[in-house]
Amino acid sequence: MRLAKDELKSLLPLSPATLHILLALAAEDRHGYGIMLEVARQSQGQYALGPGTLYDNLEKLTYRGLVNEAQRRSANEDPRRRYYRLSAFGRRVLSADLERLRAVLKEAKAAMSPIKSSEST
Amino acid sequence: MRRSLYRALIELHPARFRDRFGDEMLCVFDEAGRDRAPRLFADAALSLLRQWLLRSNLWKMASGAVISSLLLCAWGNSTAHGVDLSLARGSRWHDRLAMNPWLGDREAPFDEAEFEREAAQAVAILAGIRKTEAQKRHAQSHNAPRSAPDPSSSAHANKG
Repeated sequence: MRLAKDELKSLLPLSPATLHILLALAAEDRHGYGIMLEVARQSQGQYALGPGTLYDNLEKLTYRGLVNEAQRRSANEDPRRRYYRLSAFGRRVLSADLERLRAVLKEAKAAMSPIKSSEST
Repeated sequence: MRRSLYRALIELHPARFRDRFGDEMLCVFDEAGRDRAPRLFADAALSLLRQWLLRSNLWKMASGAVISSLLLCAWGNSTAHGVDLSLARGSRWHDRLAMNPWLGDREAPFDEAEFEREAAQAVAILAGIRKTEAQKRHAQSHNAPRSAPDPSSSAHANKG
């Protein structure tokens, strides 16, 4: 248990690409292009993930057990497509990083509020 | 034409990466359409550099070559005086070589201590790299599930 906790901590903070990929897979299994489209949607087009970066990250994430390969949805689909699924461990890592980001945001809000109030006066 | 070029870029990737994701990358290219082609080309070129330089242990070979060169230079520098002076000794070039400011003190003996110091430094750097790699491998084999091949150790796969 302790080992798993240490391993989880060693993966944090997640890089922007990893965070976006895990977020894209949080709701449902997706194939590579689906992940790219979802990342673009999540970031309102500000973060464009190319296939090279995507598959480099997916290789690392599958090796670390955060993402697994999933079954193809239908036989009619392009056979080159492969689906990816967020594992239980991946979900825990994502939750931990979101918690970390929440704490950062809270700190940032507290730090920025005196500046905002001084600017308005 | 564009597709062939993109395919060629994928083919240039290390075998480990190409075999696993090559078809999927081409599939993404086919689905993304012509408008995104320039961005996909830039991404593939960047990926090519990343896979060869960072993920294929090429940097380790390069650092090994640099350290070997440093060792050779240290050895050559330490023994050069002795070799060329013994060749020139007794000849009319002896005095000229000995006075050459670029070659320093021609009569200086082989500095064994300096050579050993430089060699020890190079060996320590090599040992540090090996130790870090071993620790990384050890940690990975204990912590991570073996669902896929190690992306960082690809020497076996890069033969293809």
